[in-house]
Amino acid sequence: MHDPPSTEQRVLAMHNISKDFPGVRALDHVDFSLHGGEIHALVGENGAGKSTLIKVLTGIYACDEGCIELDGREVHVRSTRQMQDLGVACIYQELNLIPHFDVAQNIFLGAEPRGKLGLVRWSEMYREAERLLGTLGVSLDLRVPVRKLGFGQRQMVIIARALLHNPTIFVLDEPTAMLTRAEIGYLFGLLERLKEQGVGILYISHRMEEVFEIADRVTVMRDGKNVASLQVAETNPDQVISLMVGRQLDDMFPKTDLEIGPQLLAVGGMGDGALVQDVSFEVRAGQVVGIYGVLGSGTAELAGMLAGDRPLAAGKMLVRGEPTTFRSPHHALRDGIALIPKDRRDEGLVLSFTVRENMTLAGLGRWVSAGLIRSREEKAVTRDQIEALNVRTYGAEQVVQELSGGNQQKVVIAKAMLSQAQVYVFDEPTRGVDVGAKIEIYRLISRLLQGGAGVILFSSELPEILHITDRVMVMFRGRMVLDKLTQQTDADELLMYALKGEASETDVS
Amino acid sequence: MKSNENVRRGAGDLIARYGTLGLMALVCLFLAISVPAFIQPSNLFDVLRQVAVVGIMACGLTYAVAAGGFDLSVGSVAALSTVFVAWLLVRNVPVLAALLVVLAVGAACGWANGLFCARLRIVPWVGTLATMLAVVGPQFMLTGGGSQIPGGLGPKQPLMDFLGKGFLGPVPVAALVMLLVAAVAEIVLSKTALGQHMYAAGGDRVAAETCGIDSRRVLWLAYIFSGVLAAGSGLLMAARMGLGQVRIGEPYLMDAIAAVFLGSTVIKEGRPHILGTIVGAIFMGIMFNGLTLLHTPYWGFYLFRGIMVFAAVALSGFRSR
Repeated sequence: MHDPPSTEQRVLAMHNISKDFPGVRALDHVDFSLHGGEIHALVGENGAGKSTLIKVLTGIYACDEGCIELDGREVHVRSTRQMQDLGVACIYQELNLIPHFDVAQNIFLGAEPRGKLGLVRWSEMYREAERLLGTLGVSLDLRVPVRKLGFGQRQMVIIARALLHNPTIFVLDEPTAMLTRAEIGYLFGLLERLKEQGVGILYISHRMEEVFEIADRVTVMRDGKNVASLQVAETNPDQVISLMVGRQLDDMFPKTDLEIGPQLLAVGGMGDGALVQDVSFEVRAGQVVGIYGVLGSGTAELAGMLAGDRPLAAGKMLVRGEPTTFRSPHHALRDGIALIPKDRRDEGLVLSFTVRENMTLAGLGRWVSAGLIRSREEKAVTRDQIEALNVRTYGAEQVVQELSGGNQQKVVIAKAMLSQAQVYVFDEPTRGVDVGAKIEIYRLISRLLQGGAGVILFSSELPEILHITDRVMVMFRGRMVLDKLTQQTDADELLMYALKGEASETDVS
Repeated sequence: MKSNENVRRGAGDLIARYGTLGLMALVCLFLAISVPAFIQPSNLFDVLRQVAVVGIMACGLTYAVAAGGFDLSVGSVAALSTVFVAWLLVRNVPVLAALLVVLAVGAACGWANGLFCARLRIVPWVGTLATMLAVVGPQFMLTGGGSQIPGGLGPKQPLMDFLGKGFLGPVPVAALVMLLVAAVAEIVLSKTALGQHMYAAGGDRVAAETCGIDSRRVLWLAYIFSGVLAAGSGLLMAARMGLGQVRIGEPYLMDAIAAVFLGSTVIKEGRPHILGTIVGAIFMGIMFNGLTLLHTPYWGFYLFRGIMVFAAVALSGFRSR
């Protein structure tokens, strides 16, 4: 499995790489290699060491042991700049762009064409940027500040910046997590072209279907070790997943049957006057209500309204039978309704706060007496939560910014649990997290239900909706067009309603 | 709904970009009507002359703020410059040499700020506050404990008099010096890669560093620029007053801060820039001039200064949201 065809040149070899963090061995004697003209997928659960390996490769971290060879020559990595100059380009999950700089300025950030006296040659810069985007087949207004661009467009800016240096190794860290299907197709076309030019591509993903669509080889990491490197043609998703998780996946969607309890939340005729109209439903204890809809169908707005983020223009809400109104998320939480937002980096967490501070932020009043926080109790509660939710952190005092996406998600959920919420509104809880973390989130939902909570699940993943909800509703152009028990519907029906707002007998597309 | 939002954003944008200039125009109009002496060319040039010191100091501060730092020491460094240049000139040091030495001392103060706040990553409010206080020491050391260097600037100093009090036609030389400094500062900040990297480091340090920008280095340089320009503003102060005085620079710090933050609301989108800073400084100068012409009691100036700093920071903060 380590024998490359002789026509391919090995552009990267990492030997015996180890890296320790306080209390954690992030990489444990990892070997990894990459050939020119190859797409090599790197998969593993959150915290398995993928990102650390990449950061060692790009020079952000120095490894404690092991060595790196580029084109057969050993390299002593000193800085990210050095690795860039040696042809290693990396697209990180966070798109590192300066928001108020325009497209061209961001592409050339740190590599501005300079004339005499260090003056930037602006016209040359814009010309080059134009040409570069042209070769990528992207049309973007070069003078628009990037904060006005969508995610996919920002990513193209980042890619253009990376390709500026004509890399021989191109690393992408979960590039598709936030992309639409069309954007993914576009990205894959681009990767194929780079591959033909002989660039070695290291592709980190947790989406099996993508790995099997585009990669030539796949390396699985678990607990900081390289568990296996396989030819994609000689393996299958199930094998890769069980290598990742280290166990079989028969219980991927745990669903325990529970007694449906009393009504926790009911909304009637709810609307915001624009994107959501006349929505009515109820949630009971022990019940998962799924809400499905394509982008722009109003699901995001509905989630915001339920969590007090968006004002109601019409309709009423009953919490445990009592009428109520929310003017802010604070009010919603007071009534026991917690939103676990999609964009946890922006909305769910204070990134510069520690795990403990974030977890207890919303319910802090419970640990205050005479105006002072009873810190011992606060710490004990935090420790319990870390353990119960299996948050991978080296302690309650780690800053959440340093956690991986799935673990940040768990902190958000812990925060809601500690504020004693009874209705949990999950907005795309498994987007951008790996298979193992997904299972953990499903288990968590099932635990919340056992504790007498109700769950509203906004999701665009049909398998998820079909497997874990009791009731499912479909939104189309701001209205509920379908409301059924999950057992009585199927993927085709849901999709049909989501795309057209009605069932159609004739259409087969 | 979408178009609505665009229209609103369009109008908001216009107000945000030109609001400060519009306000300045209104103030000028009001003063021109209520105090005719205001629009006399001699008065307007006098405003420019008075603005020169703050303007140069604020240009330096603009660098520190653009690169993600702050510099509370600029006023204090300027005061040190007045004292030090007087001390040198009284001792018959050639004037050009004296000017260069003082600028170098300013650079050293900026270097120290950079060491604290860029290298050691101490919060800039604290790190530069330390410099602000520390720099008072050498001032008293040089005066021997008095508030001024005895003997003014020593024997007759044609160059200093020209810089501080001279005119080219109707235009005060100090104002020209400020414009020259501002022009160079503007080019460095907005046209060079270094300036771009400063903005990048100030905008998102992590992003800048992943692009291979040494954000520590550019922030450090920004502090050095700030120190040099603070010293320069002190030289102009000394030239105008004809003496070196301990702790003379502190009120200017507030004006410089207000100028930078007001400036960041002018035309460009919510970040500090030199042109805006100069506009901000001139705006402040016009307001003070107006207060004088309207016979405002001295305590009113203090009140006004505080309000202006607050308003400027609030305005710019509003923009960056």
